[in-house]
Formats: sequence, C-alpha cells, structure tokens
Amino acid sequence: MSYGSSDLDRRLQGFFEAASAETLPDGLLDDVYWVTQRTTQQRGPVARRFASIEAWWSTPFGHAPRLRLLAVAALLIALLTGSLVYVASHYRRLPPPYGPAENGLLVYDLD
Amino acid sequence: VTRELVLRAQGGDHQAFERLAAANARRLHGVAVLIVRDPDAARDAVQETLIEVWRSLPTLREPDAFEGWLQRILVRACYRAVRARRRVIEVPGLEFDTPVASGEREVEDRDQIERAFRRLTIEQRTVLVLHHHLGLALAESADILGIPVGTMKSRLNRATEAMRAAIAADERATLVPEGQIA
Repeated sequence: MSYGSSDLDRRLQGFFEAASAETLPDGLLDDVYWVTQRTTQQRGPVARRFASIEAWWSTPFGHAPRLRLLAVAALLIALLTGSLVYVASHYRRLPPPYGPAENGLLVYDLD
Repeated sequence: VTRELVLRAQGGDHQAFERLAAANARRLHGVAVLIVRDPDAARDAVQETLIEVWRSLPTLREPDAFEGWLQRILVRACYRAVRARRRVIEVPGLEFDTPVASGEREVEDRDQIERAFRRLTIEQRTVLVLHHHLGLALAESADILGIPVGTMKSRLNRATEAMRAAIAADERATLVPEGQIA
C-alpha cells in the first residue's frame, strides 16, 4: 500500500497533535525558575559595548569607594602639580625689544 | 502581549519571563518529545532552552522575532540532549494520551506512524516536526536549522521518503506471519 503526500501529511499531523497533547512533566517549570532566579542575564549588544567602560567606572581601583576617591584626588593633584612645574621650568624671558616695556622716557616727535 | 512580555523580560523582569515560559513550555515540550523520542531528554532540552532564553533575552534585537528565536534554541537543545545521551539502542515507545473516543483503527494508525517515525534520524524528525507540526514555511525552518532553503527542501523530501519507506516496512512486518521470512 502506498501513501500519497496528502495522506501522509494528514496522518503525520494527527500523530503530532496527539503527541504534543502530552502533559508537561511535574516540576519542570519550577526547576527552570529556581535556576533563572539565580542566573544573571547576558548583556545586550549596546550594553556589551560599554561593559568594559562601565566595569572600569564602577570599580576603577577596586571595590573600596574611599580608596577610589582618594586615588582619583591624588591623581588629579599629581597631574596639576606636574603641569605647574613643567610650565614654570620652561618659562623664558624674551630678549629686548620683545617682551613687556620697561619704565623710562617716552620718545615722541614734534612737528 | 508577547512583545510586551519579551521587552519586560529583556529588562530583567522575572515575572514576565515566567509568564512567557509558562505560555510556551507545553508546546516546547511537545516538539522536544517528537524530536528526541525520549521523555528525559525532552525534559532536559526544554529546561535548557528556557534557561538559555532567560540568559540570552537581552541579546535578542527584535522582540517580534521571539518565536523563531525560541524554536532555534529548542532545536539546538534537542540535538545536544540526544548527543549527550547517545542512545543508539531502540528507544522505548512513548505513551501518548489518546482520546477515549478514538476508534481502534485510529489508534493502530497512530501506532504505526509512531513506529515509523521512531526509525527516522533526528535530522529527519526535526524537519518533519518543523514543517508539519509547527507549520513553518521552508525558509523559516531553514533559518531555524541554520541551513540554506534548498538543503531544507531536499532534507524534507528525504525525510518524507524515509517515512514512507518506514511505514511500508512496518506494514510488511505486520503482514508476514510469525516464523516466515518475507
């Protein structure tokens, strides 16, 4: 006996309907929820791009917030001091006739 | 409603995820049972699928594509579950809840289909389930399996032929009296 395509389709669909009518095993969803409540979600594509920055920003110097603040403040002070020292050490007075004018007589023309 | 639940679950709303899972679990289990032909493996596959869905939901760019995405994860989980169990030996038949009103002929017919279906490979069962049970178009099924449409079409043809051959073999086996060689 041979089966046409539509006959086989009909029989398969009947079988699939019966099979899919099977009840869900007990506790299946409870087990899933137990795991998912303890599982963190992956990051989305946008969030993932900023994850490294966010991670650094949240804990740039470890988890102690005071230490972090102190470290940031120390870094800023060091940068400021370094800049001042650099500018001061590289300052050169310009030779005359450049630079600011000195006190003295004013030269002018009379017709 | 599904879109809203998906969006909420993507944001970490566990209640929304539980509603999504509860709404889809039975269908997922039905598909897994058909593909893996083993109740324990089907249970593992569904659990793995739902956990993977929760973990990866934020990476789903288009909430409207949730259904296809879910089915793709399920099929992969089914394949993994079968590989993990490596049951090469004949899998015992599953007992389905058959309606009481069903006629004897109908039950026999279904048993025959089940025996034939069990003889197919997991790839063949998968394409038949996607196409005939879930009613997916060739392109959708191909997308879920990650294969070209042409491959999906030929795989479906081969699966249908294999199913026909398995039914014919089953009929020959039942027609030949015991002790005789066909």
